Amino acid sequence: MVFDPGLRTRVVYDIAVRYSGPLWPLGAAIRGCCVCGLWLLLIWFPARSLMWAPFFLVLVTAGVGTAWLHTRSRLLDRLAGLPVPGLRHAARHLGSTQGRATADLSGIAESAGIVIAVLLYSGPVAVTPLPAAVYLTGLGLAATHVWSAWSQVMTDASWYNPAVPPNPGLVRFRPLMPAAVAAIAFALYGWRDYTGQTPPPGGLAVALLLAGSVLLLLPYTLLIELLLRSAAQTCEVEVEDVRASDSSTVHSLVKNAAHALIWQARRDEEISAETRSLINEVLIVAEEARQIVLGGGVMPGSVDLLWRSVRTIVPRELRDTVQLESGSEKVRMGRTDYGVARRVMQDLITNAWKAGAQHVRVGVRAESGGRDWVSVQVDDDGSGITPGALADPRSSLHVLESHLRHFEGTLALAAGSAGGTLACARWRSSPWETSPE
Amino acid sequence: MRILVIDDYVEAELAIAHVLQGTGHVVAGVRDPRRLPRVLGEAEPFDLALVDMIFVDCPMTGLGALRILAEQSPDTRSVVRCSDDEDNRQLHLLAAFTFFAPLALAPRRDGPDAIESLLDAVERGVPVASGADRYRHLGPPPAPLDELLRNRTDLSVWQELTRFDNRIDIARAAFVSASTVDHFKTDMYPVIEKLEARFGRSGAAAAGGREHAHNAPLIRLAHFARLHKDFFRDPDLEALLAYRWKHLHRELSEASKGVREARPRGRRRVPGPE
Repeated sequence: MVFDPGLRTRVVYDIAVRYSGPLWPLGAAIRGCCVCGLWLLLIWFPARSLMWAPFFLVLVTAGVGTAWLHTRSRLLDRLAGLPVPGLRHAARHLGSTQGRATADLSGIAESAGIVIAVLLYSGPVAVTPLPAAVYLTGLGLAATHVWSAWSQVMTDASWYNPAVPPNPGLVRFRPLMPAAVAAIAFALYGWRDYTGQTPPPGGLAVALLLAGSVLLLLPYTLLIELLLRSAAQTCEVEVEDVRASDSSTVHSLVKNAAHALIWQARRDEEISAETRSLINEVLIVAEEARQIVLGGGVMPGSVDLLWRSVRTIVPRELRDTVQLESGSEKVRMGRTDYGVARRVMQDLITNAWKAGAQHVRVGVRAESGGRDWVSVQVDDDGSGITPGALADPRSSLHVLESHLRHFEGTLALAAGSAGGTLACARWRSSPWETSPE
Repeated sequence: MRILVIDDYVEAELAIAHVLQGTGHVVAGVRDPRRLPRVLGEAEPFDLALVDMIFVDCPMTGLGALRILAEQSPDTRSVVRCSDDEDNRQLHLLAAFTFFAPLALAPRRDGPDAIESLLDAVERGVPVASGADRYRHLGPPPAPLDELLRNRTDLSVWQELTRFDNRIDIARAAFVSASTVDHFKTDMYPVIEKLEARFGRSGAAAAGGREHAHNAPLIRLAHFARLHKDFFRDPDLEALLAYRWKHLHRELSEASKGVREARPRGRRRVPGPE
């Protein structure tokens, strides 16, 4: 689709700014050569026309000169510093219109100036007779000027700026710009034929072909936008590659270090239960970071992400024995509840597999009503929790219960459905948070 | 005391609550500063807020949290609690101490003892031992932040430097002339050198003074901008700066008006022998 508003993104805008930078001076140089060519062609003009013909080139020359000045920032700066009020004002105006979708001094002067210049070759006051080569070269140079100027207008970076969108009127007029310019070119280039004067040297067809070439600005813009869209898609693919590479880095650097820490902690009997929990949490958070960086549709705040992460603390050969109840993966939580659930699941699952459980079922529920509650149930067939585990201040369950109390929560232990333990943690959902949208 | 922990990591709140268990302090927390107006509106007033600076997946930073606290709960004293080891947080900390003058900086690496002594100092109303000296400006104006971000143009150029390193591209994207970018470069080299010296980083930015800065490549500033990308693109910073520039501009206008009024009217006479 041409003129796709979906292209107004920061990536596309940045690409357009980068190509606009070198295109501006190049365009000014091309148009400068065209205008020099138009001045040179005056050599072959009839002597009687030389008294007034040069005046027809003054405005376009001034416009191109200003466009060139636009690209010479230091010179512009020096001119702005001169004690000439008009000059200073013009230099400041040119400096202020950089990068904006707006008609500036040079643009207006060039557009009006090239129309006046073409009048030397075609139209009511055209110079006659002109050699065919001079006539066609003049029209060709004017067409090249128009092409250079309007190709820049059509593909200017400001069309793609998401932060400062262009004027809606200009956006609507943009697809019509080539047709409007071509209509003016047709009217000027085909003038002699319309007025029934002598056929133009070189034939009308060539002149009209030059005028019609302006319509090619549409497919040209389409081509540029196709390239922009392709470049943006390539950026997305590259970002995915970088994410994949970053997730490997997280795995290599953080997860391996966390595994080493856990391995050492298991050998050290002196380490407290809270420290062990926090060490396990390093591994879980590293896995969460890896999953989020990797992308692939995981939703932050979802039990799905939490489950994928928490399973990493269970030895690989036992992971299939730990099951999440159907429907739990769809639960989404606010940041606080998610953080508490992470801690609860980690501690209860660790206790279950340490108790030699062969089957562990985990359920997560978000209860709505007068007050919102979150609950996590872990039902296992292990050897059961030691009586008084909750009362032992050194046990992880005691610390967990204390954390739950901070959120008006409780931790209840009962006999499991398969003979082990049924642990149920329940806490009040954080009152100032809702699930992420 | 009622303590509010504004931190996206729930363990930060749990750790403080655990340390303060049985001390009579009440700890509450909020993970996302966008929820802060509701918390301050519904809960009893807090005596102290421990504020993190960067929040994952949140467009608001600690600057926004401090602003909301200052507006809605001016009696709540604040302490910035985040890691200051990371280079990309330092400008946020500088802005926090320039705009809001929090009581202290409590780095995360400090243990439970540091939190206990911090609360003790706050309760007794004695000065808090703080690692914030690098971020406080105690000398005459201008403050480092005012040198780094003098006006809206500076902010625009810094924002575009996070994406481009070519003066023409920066000028186009920031809607300024390329010579403005040149002047910006010349002015900012010494500023970032001073900041890097303040933050303990070796900066070879403006070793040769303004002449060197004028000829130095823009890439050096682009590296600085990219390192502090989150800071320069922080919407909270933009809002705070807009207020500060307006305020400073008004102060300057009033000062110059005062000077004009104090000046004797009529032609100035050069004092000399009668």
